[in-house]
Amino acid sequence: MTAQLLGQMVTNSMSVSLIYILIALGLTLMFGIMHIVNFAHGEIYMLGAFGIYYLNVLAGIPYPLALIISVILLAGFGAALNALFFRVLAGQFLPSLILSLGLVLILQNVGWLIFGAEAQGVPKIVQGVLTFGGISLPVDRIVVMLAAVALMIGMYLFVHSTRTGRAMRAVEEDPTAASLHGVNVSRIHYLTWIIGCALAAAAGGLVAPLWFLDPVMGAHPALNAFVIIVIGGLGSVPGAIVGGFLFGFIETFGGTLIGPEITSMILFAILIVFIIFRPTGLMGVPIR
Amino acid sequence: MLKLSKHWLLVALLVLLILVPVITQDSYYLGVLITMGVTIIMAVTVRLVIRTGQMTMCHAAFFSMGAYGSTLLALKAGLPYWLTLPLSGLLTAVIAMLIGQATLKIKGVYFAVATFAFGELVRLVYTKFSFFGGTQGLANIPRPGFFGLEFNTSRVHYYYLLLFLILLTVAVMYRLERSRFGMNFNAIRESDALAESIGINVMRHKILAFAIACFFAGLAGSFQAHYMTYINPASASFWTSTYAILYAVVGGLGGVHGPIIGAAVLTIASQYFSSFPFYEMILYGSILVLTIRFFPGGLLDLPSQVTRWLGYR
Repeated sequence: MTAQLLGQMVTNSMSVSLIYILIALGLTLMFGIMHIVNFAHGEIYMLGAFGIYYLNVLAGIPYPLALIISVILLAGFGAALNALFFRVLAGQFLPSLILSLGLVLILQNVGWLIFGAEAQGVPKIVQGVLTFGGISLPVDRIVVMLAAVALMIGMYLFVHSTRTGRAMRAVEEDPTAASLHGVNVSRIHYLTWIIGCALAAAAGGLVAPLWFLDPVMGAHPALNAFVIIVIGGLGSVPGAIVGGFLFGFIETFGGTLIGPEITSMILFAILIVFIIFRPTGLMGVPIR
Repeated sequence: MLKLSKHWLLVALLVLLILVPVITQDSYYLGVLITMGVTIIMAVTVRLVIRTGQMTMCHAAFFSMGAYGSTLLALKAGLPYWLTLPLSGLLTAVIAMLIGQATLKIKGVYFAVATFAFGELVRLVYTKFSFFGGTQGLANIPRPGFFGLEFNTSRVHYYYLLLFLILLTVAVMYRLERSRFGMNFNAIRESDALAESIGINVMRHKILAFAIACFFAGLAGSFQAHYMTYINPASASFWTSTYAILYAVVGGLGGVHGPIIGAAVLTIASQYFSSFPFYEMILYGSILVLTIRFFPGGLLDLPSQVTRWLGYR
């Protein structure tokens, strides 16, 4: 095991973790605040990536603007999903789970129809490779990681330091008490969807120039995000972050050292053990 | 009088089903009915588990345990089908009891996620280990033979076998539904704690329901394996589990016949879309979304929902 390989694995796991965390943050907020399970979150990520393809590659809009537009569009889409389907299901995880499965079927297959069965590529936004200490890192990866960290920190600060963030946490703890204190619970629900989808779309958009695009690219990260939020604690933002790094490290190191399938099996087994013995996860709030 | 005519209707339906292969030997129609039959068993059994309040997302895993179990018993131990069928069902039920013992005390979304992980784990095990044939799966599974009657490629024999399995499954489900167990399951679904407080052994009931449901799912899997003569890890996929839930929910969870109707209707619908695979999934997804959003009781509840809706006008 050379230092080169080790360094490579560390940076790989960092970047992979950050993407998972961005997706997991939205999921954990949605569960914590609205008690809904959204299996279709990965599809938002996928649409974010394809948004970049259409805006940047086909329409020629510069990448940063394309990213912002894609995020805004998908945030709006999330609000629409809430208005149409999930608002009436708030508090019931079972119908929302099944409904989101239906959405996955629709979105993935609409994706196949519109985007076609050939994997698409988005050209790199930044060229060049940075080399330090014998490890070579493409610059675009560094940019993605920095952007993801910025979003993550912004998200954390928002939830913990702003008034609206406190309102969200209040609703998470007790919606009735929060509304008695003047919090517009319905608006917080919309906000949760908007933030969650914005983060997932941003993750997709950041990833678009790095990896290949296809309509089912969201399935694997979403699945991993679910594992992360359970291990980290459903509803907990710091839990999603810690769980995300843990997961990313195990997945990358395990994948390289003992193979991806065995690593996946181990991760699922860890998840099951967590659910049986510590369902609140590492940092979660107790189940009401 | 009404009850009597409903029984006659069922008898007539049964006679019709028995006579189908006499009416048509068309392998296409028999094939569709066989596919429908397998999905009926899956939908009806998954409903049983959901009715105890546990949302299982790994039903296909138990289906596949029956499939792989029966296959391995036939290929490696050389057992005849009349042994591998019940044995694979029993094997699946035993594994279900063990898994259930550990996981059925978890409730709600955690149970859903845990079973989801379990299902994926099972599929990965099939993919990774060559004992199960890896990603290719296992092929050349021997066709069933019962005391001298060898199945051949004609689907008629398979049809009757499946009809027998479905009748067995549905009969057991109906008896359970109307028995004290059925009432206890309802109580448990409404409230675990309350049921426990009136003396119902919640865990034992949940495990029983889970084991029975998985037994029949295993039988269905065994049937599927010897019908297709090959199996692969895709039979344990998350989407197979999801479709079972889809059929049950769309049909309506209120009665045993709900999933039967759901499975029948959706299987027939999918035949029209067989040349447009993406549209078929979009249709399924849309039906599921609309059902949950507007008709949570499913097709079963549709007549009363419509009359209620008309009554408000």
